Amino acid sequence: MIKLRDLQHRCYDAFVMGDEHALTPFVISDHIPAAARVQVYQNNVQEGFIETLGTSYPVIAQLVGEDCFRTLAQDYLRRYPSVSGDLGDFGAHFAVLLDAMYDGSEFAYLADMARVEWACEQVRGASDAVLVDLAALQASAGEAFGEMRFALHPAVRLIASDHPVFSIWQAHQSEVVGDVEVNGGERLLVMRRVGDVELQLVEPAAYLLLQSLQAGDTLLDGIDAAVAQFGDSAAIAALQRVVALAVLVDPAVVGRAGVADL
Amino acid sequence: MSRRAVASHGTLPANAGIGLRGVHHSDFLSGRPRAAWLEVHSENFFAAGGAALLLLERVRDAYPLSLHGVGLGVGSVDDIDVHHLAKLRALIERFEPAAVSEHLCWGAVGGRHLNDLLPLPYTVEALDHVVDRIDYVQNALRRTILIENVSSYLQFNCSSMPEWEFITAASRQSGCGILLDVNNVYVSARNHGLDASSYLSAIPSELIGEIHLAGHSINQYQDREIRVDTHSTFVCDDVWHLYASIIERVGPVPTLIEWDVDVPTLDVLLGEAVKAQRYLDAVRDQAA
Repeated sequence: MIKLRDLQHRCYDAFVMGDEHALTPFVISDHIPAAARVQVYQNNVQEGFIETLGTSYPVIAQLVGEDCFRTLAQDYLRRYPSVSGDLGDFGAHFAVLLDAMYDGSEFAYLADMARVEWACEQVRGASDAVLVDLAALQASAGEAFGEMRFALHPAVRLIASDHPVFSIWQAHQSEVVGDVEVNGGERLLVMRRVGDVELQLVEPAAYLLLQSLQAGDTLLDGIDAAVAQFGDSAAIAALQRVVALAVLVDPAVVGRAGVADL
Repeated sequence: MSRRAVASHGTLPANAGIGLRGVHHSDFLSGRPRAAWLEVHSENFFAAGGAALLLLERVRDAYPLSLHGVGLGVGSVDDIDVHHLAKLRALIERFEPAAVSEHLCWGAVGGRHLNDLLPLPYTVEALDHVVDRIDYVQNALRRTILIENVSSYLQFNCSSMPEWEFITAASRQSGCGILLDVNNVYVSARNHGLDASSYLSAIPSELIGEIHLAGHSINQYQDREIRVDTHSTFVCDDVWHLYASIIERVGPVPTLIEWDVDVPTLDVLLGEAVKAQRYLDAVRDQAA
């Protein structure tokens, strides 16, 4: 008699890889043929994955259209099988697939868009942590303020792209997609605000300062880096922007592992 | 490891509850809709933080809670995913649910997940495997769980016993309870030309800890029908009749209305729960 392990492998081949003949000899054929019965599972399993990917990547689905998205999703499932019983983890490598497929082409922006959408998924369920009040710290810490180190809140991601991904993403948030002025690369923050996910464009100097803080540099080192690259006034504006964004936490509260690199 | 009961907020009331889904979160944030108890999919709350967990904390204070897992796959031959189990255990420790349930199915092989509720062959090998797994899970979670029969669209020709015998034996040998999904029994029975009433009659009363009711779809294959468990519509009349007959036999049981696709407004969903509640009340009245 067929062993349970062998049967389950055959089910995988039939339901995911589309090889129904691997399984039909082990399925009862009656008023409904075995092949039709296997097809119900093929359909349920594959549609489940396609729908999940579509839920995680709604803008990509809009950009490429339904047929293309289905093809991409089926390709993705074969190359990057689900490795978790939590369907929420499926889709983690979609940007890698899009990179491999479209790098150097006119659709190269799709991979970065996938990074933006996956960041949205990640921040939605990231850890909670208490934000530091930079303005209050600045007032109370005096000279020591510049020597302080901070971490990004776990529900914040930094993304820099050579493409206008923020503008494209924003244009796809309403029913009627507006025109997108192609104006080169954009730097943005993806973050959770009062339960909802929010994206914000960030100026180059502020982005550099946030990157520097994320890497574990002191505030002063971060500002020095911004001054060196963008000048005094841009660096001051960057600090003001970082204070206003309110995305920093005490690094002792959040381990480095909690802040995923993009 | 010896099994012991962990703190839970009592038991589920033998009344009608609903599955709490994302589209209704705002209803539960802004008010306190009338539902006897709530069930959520465990995996939807595996995140480290965020709005969903805050919502669950809030409803936890107002309603008895059941955690219903869809991804553990007690029938998979792969080793149990200890990370998945750890997340489930942490969720249980945090929210102290009245009930914890999983499905009698498998979902992963060779490290690859199918993320679906897949049928087992009803063999002695599969039974021994499932009993070992449920025992392992109950020890790890330090509590008993309920296992739910799933809908199936195929039967394996190596099966040596009917599904009702398999699930009853799995329950008796592992000490877990049965979450009897009446719609799943009906869907499987229709798909395989079996008698749903006979299936339900064969499940011992004392093992049934919870009942699920849901709607299903009818797909056509050439000129044949295959019923698919979509949770996308109202509970059908045949399933209500089966439900009435089983609670007449076993008495009132905590009963859940599940609706996962094309989810209606909350009042429509609660309307289905009210209907289930009427059946439960009628059984109570008869007994009194």
